[in-house]
Amino acid sequence: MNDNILVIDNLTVDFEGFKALNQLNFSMKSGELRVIIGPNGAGKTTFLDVITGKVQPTEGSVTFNGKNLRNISEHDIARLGIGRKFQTPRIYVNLTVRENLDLAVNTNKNFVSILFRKSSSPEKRTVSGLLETIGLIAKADLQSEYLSHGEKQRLEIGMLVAQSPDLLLVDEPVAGLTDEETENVGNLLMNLAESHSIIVIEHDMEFVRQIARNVTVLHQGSVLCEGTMDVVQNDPRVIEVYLGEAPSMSEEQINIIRIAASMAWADNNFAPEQLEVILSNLSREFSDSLMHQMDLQQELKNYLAKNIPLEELVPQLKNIEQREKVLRLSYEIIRSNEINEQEIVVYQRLLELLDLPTELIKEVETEIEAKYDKRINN
Amino acid sequence: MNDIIPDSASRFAQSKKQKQKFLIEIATVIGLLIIFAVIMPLVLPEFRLRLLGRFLSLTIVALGIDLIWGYTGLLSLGHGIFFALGGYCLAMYLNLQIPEGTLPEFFTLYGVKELPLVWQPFYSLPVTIILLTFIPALVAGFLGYLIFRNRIKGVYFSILTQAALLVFFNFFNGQQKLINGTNGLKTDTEKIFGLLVSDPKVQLNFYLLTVLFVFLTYVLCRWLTSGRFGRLLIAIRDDENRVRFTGYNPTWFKVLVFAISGAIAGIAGAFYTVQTGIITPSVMQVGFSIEMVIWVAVGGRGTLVGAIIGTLLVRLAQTFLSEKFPEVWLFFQGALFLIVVTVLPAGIIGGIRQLMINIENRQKVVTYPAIDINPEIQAEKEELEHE
Amino acid sequence: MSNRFDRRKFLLYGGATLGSSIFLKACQSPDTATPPETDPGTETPPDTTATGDTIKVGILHSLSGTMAISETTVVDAENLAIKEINAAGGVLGKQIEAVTEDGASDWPTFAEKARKLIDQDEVVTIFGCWTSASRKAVLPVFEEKNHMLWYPVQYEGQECSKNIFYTGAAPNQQIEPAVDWLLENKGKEFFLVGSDYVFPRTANNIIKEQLKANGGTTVGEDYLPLGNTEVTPIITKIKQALPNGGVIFNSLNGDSNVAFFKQIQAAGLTPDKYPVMSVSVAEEEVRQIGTEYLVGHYAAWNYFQTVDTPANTKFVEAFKAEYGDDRVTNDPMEAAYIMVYLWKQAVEKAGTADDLEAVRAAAVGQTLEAPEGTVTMSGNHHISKTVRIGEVRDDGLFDVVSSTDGPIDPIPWNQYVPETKGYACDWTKTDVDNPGKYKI
Repeated sequence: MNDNILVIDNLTVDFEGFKALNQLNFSMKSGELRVIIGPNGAGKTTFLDVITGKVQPTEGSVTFNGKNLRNISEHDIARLGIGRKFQTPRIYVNLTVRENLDLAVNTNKNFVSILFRKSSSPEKRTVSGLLETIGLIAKADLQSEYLSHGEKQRLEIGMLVAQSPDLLLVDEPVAGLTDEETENVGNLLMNLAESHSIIVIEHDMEFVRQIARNVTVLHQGSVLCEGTMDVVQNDPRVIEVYLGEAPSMSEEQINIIRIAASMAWADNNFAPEQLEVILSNLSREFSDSLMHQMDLQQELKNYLAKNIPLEELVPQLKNIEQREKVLRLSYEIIRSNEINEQEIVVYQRLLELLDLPTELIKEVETEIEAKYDKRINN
Repeated sequence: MNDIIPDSASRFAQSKKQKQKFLIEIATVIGLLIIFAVIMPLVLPEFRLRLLGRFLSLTIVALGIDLIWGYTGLLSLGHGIFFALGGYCLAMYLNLQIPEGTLPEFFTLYGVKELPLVWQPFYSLPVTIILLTFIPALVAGFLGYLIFRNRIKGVYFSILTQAALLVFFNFFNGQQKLINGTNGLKTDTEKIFGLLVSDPKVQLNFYLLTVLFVFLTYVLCRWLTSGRFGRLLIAIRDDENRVRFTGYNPTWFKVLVFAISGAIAGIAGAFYTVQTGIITPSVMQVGFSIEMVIWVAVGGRGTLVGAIIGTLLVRLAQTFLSEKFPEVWLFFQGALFLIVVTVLPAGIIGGIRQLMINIENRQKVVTYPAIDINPEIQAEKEELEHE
Repeated sequence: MSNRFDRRKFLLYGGATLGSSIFLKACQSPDTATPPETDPGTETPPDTTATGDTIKVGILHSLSGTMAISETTVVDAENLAIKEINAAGGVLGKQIEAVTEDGASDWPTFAEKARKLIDQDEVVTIFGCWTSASRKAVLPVFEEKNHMLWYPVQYEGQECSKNIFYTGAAPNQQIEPAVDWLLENKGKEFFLVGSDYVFPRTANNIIKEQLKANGGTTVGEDYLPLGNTEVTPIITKIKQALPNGGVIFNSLNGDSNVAFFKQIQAAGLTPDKYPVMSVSVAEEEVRQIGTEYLVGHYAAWNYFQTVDTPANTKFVEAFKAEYGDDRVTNDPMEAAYIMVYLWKQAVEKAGTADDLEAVRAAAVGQTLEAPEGTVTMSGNHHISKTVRIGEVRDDGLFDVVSSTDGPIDPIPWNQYVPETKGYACDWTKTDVDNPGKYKI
């Protein structure tokens, strides 16, 4: 039991009748990288809130390195060695990257030291090292307001590490990132996992697959199932509550979405209109209820931020109906804003791959053209 | 290791630039010191100098406001409290410079025969000086602690400070037997070191002391905001939760900086009082505390120099306008504020800095889109990674 | 900057014909004190009196802020007097030039502006202030500079400065006679309400002592912060303390009065059973509160617009001609108007406006047929005044229901208050250590 860095015992958080966490039991070993997944409202964020002291448990206990965290304030928990990364990057936008890290790396967090002590050389070295780890050396003295979204995410992770915590809590680190940034962040987390215990909360299943060794599935405030990705994915309860129910998309449907996304990415520019077309079309196709559609749109955004070659995707389409659907959607996407050359090239390649009758293509194109002409005339 | 080289080179360039900036700043400050401490007393008539001294003492409180608002993001609308406390402390000392066994004159109006206990410490000048700094600091610290401990932020903080101001205002107004209520305490006819407070020589000394304290307060604020402490204040303003989860307790830092700001306001109030000749609860009227914020906003928040310049400009404009157009000067003043707020939202200093940056970096605009889909950024990032 | 303005004015006045000014000077007799009504002022064309030199006086009132609404009316009265005097040839053959400053309802500002008027503009006297707080704020400035302030508002007394001339009522010229009249005509049980500042508190202290001495009782006393309109609790207390009616003595100020009078009427406290005697409600305030709420209630002043004297007929006519028919005159305005004339008489008697000691000495003993009746400047720098009780009538003006036979001499140090009992003030006295406050 001693090598368990975090033990959560029978934890309940009751928000005036609503049990955000319900008799939850959880433990993880020192040095482990654990991913927590679960549908919206499963209690993932509350889970982190309790560990970091933001929310006090109604019942049960959180034990970190053998110490019960009840009634310890957030900053003291942070000093004990738990670092938390929020979903959206939370950095000090009016400070430079280096200054952000310097505040985190400082080990004496009392008045006197802050007022009178300058950064020591070991601290400076740590900051330099971290700048290298998070790949922001060139922007070290840039005000962090001007960083891109992904850079901000990395900076925040860097700030966590600078605190030299034993346990890192990371909430949806790749939401809204491009493929490339996702990979960067993934690598960063994998590197950190060598020397830290990490809990990652994530929605992006692709990313989960990339980094996860052990996965815990939360559902309605309790642990539904735990194990490797394979075990979890094949657990019928998980399929039902999470993979099965909420996104309700088959492999083929996901495939269609990905092709559509590739079209949108053809000119290296994912215009908002294009996103709009995809989201509204697809969510309507997969669900009738408006609420569900909204949920789905969120879900879909994850899939859209990827760029997988058409050559891999098209052969997976099963029948002619699916192919026609792809054609329809793709044309509408490129039509949704000005068609440019790159898009035409990709579209031509798609037509080749789809191998549909010319009349059908003509028919679909005219139909969509008419729709857009009408819109313009109006 | 390759990565370290451009890093340190750029830092070197930056530190050189910083040094240059620092020298310019020192030169400016010394220049201003000479102008205010040496030239102004020679040039200005006695009455105008006294007026300037009052304005300069207001710049002290403006510096304190800038410290908490400009840097820490705490918009206090209750600094009149601390200002008044400092002023009252010194006024009480001056009112006690009378023959032993007698009471300040106003007490006889209310039939008070014995000096109230709270007056007792103010017989001594050193104690008075300590109290006029520490009472405002303690009140600010206590008020701050109550508010910050409950994580009250933003506009709610402002409202609470204003509410506190009203409480103090009404309390002081009602305490006729203790501190002469609405009438306040006069200082001009009192004595200090055997001389009348309104004596031109005494007033000149107060003026010079005010200049010195503007300088010292500036240096203090500059020091507080330049090191790690200053960066932490900015961090608290930018994202208090991040600060908390990094292991700092923002509550105590906010309490500390609020208390420092309160102490600064107390000192300002003391200087203002002796150069005005009276302290009344009216300095705790809502409008005055809001005006303090306006000075900082006009000069440019988060710049320190802006606080000083803003205060002097607003007050000089007020004096000039009200002397020239006694009936309608308020309209002019309102128009002036509107112009500054709409044309220079970052204040005068902020506006100048923006202009300088624009001139300097006409080519290299350093704005990046928030979402990482700009092809230029992608290209740049690739370049950086290949280094 | 002020130099430029001065030069322009210099050119303006210097441009007038030299001959006419010599002629006018020859016509005037500066040594005789001429009351305004005997002076054929308005008949002289105003633009022929310039002499190339002026006497500068300061006007220091709140033109902005909460007090502006009251103080601007006083400024109007002062300007009217100055205009009349100038039209009649000025003072010592010189035109009066008024420099106006805004005290902005802020006491430190009053002190600052007083300093500015004295040091920068070098005025020979200042007409100004309304609230006691503003007067107390400028007092040190006047004492330090040994300068001269004329103050036109009724106040709580307990002050007697060599540097101030008070033309409003001292408590014995307003509050005390009002209490006497009430005791005689309206009842023995008094409830005191007032705004929470120095005048009402001091006034009520005096009233309580006076009632004790004259067989009345104070059944209750309550204060509202300035500007507060939460009067319901006070009305409840009045009803409890005076279940069968009684006298309400009201020294509320400003907005509180509006709420107070509306709500006592709503609560059924009518003037026949609950007469309210106010000491801060004059014609102007009646208009603001609403006549219908005030009809039948009382106010104590030295002057009402309805006072029947030849001087008042002239004053009201001149004021309406200058500022419009819808304007009313009231006690502080009258006091402000006559203080300019009193100063003028003193200057003419002293033969100089610049030697303030001489003007001060000359001021004492000056008599004027004022709109309120004959007034005389006493050695204690207050003036003797006729005291009147007025009842609000339907048109918003007052019926004078009681009036003293002649002017009452002012007593600044109150004789009901134990601390000041037995003290007096007389700046002409040379045989006491402190003529401002000596034991009788």
